[in-house]
Amino acid sequence: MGMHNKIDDAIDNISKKIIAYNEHRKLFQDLFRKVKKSLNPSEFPSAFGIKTKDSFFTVKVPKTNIDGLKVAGVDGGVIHRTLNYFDIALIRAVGVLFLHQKDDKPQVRYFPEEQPFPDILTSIEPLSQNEIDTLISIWRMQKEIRCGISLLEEDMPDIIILDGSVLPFIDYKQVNQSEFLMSQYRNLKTLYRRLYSLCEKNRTALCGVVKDSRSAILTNKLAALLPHLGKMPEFEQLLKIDYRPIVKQLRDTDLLYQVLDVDERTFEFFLSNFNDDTDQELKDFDIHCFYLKTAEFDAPLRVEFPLLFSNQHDLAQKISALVIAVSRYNPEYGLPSVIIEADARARLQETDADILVDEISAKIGYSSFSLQRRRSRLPFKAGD
Amino acid sequence: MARKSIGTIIVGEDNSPNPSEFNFVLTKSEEEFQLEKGMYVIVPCDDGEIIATVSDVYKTNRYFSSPSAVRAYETSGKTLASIFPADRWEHIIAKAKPLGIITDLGIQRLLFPVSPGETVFIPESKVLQKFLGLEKTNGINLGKIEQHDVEVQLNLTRFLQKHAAILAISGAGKSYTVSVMLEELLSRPKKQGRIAMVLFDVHGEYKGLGDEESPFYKHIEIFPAAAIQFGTHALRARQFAIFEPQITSVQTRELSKILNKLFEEKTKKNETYTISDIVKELEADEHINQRSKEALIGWLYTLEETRLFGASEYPVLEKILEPGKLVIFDLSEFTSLKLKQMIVSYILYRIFDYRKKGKIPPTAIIMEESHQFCPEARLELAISRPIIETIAREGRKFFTSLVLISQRPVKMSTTALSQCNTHIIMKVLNPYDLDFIGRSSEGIDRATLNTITGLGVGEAVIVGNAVNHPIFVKVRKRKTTTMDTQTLEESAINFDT
Repeated sequence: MGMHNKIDDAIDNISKKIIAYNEHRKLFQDLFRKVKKSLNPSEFPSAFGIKTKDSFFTVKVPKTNIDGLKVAGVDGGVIHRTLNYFDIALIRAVGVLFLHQKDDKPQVRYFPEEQPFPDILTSIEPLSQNEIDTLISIWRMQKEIRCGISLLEEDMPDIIILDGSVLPFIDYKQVNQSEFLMSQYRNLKTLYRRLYSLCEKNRTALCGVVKDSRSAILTNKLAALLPHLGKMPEFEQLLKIDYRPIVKQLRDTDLLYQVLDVDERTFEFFLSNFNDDTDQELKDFDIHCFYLKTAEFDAPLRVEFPLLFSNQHDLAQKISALVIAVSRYNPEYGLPSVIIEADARARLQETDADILVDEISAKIGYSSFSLQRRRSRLPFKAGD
Repeated sequence: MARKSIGTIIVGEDNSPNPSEFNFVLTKSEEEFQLEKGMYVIVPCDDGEIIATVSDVYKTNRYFSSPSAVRAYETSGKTLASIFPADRWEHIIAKAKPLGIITDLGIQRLLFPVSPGETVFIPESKVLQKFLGLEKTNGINLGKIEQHDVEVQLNLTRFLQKHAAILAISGAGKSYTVSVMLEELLSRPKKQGRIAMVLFDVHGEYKGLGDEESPFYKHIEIFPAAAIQFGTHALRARQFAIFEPQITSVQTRELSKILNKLFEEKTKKNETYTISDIVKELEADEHINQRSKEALIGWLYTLEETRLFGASEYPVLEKILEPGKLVIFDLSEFTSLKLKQMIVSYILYRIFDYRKKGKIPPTAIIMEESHQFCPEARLELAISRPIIETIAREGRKFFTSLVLISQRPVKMSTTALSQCNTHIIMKVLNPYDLDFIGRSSEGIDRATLNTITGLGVGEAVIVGNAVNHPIFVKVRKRKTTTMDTQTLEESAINFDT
């Protein structure tokens, strides 16, 4: 058997598997879509770990008029270079505030400014690559949260939307192993607390939107829950199919892309506490989340929010209504307009870092090439 | 005044900056500065200052760069501009074409690229004037460089010594431009050097220049075509042969003998002669072949019937052509093209002769509808062409300059037009004329040629000897109001009442 035949067979097998899986998955999604209205998450046994006050699996988001409302968004940009002896990162964050006006384009304010000069941060700590990545991530979050704080100190938006999680998502185990990282992490958590308390004081809704969530928290809980729903006639058909491997492989957004309609969200549910081992005796915050379908042909957004000044249902309704209102312009891309603008303003180009490295090299009399680590300067690269 | 910075050079996707092109982003807002195609910009560098023209201007906006995204967003019923602060992402990018570099050694060709990040400025007037070869004062002020507050003052010698042509469609402002040029020439003080001007006014458009209200009234003299008389004694046989091209060379030689004899006899007696005298002399001569004699007499009678030939010349060109004075020959009353060509031929012949002898001042001859007087046609239809071509070829040595004006350059004598070293080109639409201009105008590039169809009324591009680079000029306002600006309706009402 020739090489070509082997490849053809392999391709054939893989294609068949994918088609079969997709058909199976589609069947499950369609069936689940049919029964979604029969599920009452508030009645789920507590053993399944779903804490919610919403009595439907999917909730229609109320339409809201955003004329006169101030919607803010914060995003950051980072470029990182590892040189021989140290790490260098260019980081900036931009806050964008749209004051929506009737029959007119939004009035815009930028924080700290339209195109801020990036911070240049360096580290000579002896950190592993993973630790470095964590450090850069912390630095970026610090910058973003500081930006959000300065925005809230200068203005009072109705909602502030962060790009990404509303929690400092960090590998805590890793942070715990480095004193330097831990100090940076503590600093970050302090900043989050400051942001939350400002939002609470101003009664500004705060949320984070995660566009391509890989979370499977909901599908995992469903996988555990579904076998117990066999007695309900609506679920009979669903449970007849071999759903277990599908639910096991599905991420939340994969399932919900088919299950949610536009302008619909899932029930909100408790995600996590803000506090961890580093926050002993400090005020804690409950972080909740839901998935929101903002665009017909785009995956649902995962929206996270701390419970600050309202009950969880009301806050979820308010946040979902505002996020939908500023996200549902494009049927193929359902991200809030303030985040799109903030992303564009904060984004850094690779060339920005190159220029910086070149300048440093020129100052110290090295060629920038020799400064870079060996794997960054492979003499023969694919495509060269 | 401080030099005005307007932009910064960027790296373009078209391998720019390079020695023949660079791109820059406008760093001023549109309210602060309106960047336009055709503007001059300057970029300082170690060797001097690079001067360039803006060859194109375009806008970018990341929000509108993807057609599918624009369409998708606007299906919401709202415009993209009402959802996002899209106007804040609008950038104006200009493509610029370096023309040269001003160094201590003079103007040199640019052989290296400008550097990305360099600041782009608007040049000061004096820099632009120096680079383009314009006079700061005392030049022929035709107007201002489009988009710049810089007067286009052409050096008189560079502009006129090697002749000029003004080419455009009807209504583009040729005659207006001529009036401006004449005002400038008429305004020159003695110390700057004044020349005499002769204008052939085919349509009677310039009569008003000599009105009493005109500030130049005392320096203008107008002669209607009917009053013009040739001094027969001043004509040689060769010229008669040009007026009547059917006269053969043998007959021309016979006529020449008769004219020499008459000239000798009459000059001794301090007398002149007419065509009748020539005919009498021909009839009396027994050596001339009878058939030649009859033919010559027949043609001479034909010429006499034009009533242009007399015993003496009127006006006396030697006397009326003075420095700083404009003489207008109003040919509008004549319908016969042949008669008009004969007048032009005679006057030019005389002027050139006088100039060679130094009897009249350096003279500029301005000729409206030049394609009528020096067409690329057979001689009997182009009586005035030989003298025009002669002056075109040899006039610069004797400071006799031509300013040929035409709306159909393609029909003009190539010899004459190619000797016009400066072209003022206004709006031209005919593709044959455009092509002809492209081939006959030295220094005009394809990009400049392409802009000619889009020129507005009163806008012109000057190329050739008078300037170092093609210049787009907005012709200045006239000081005189000589043109007949009646509308068709007004003219009809006037006739009817």
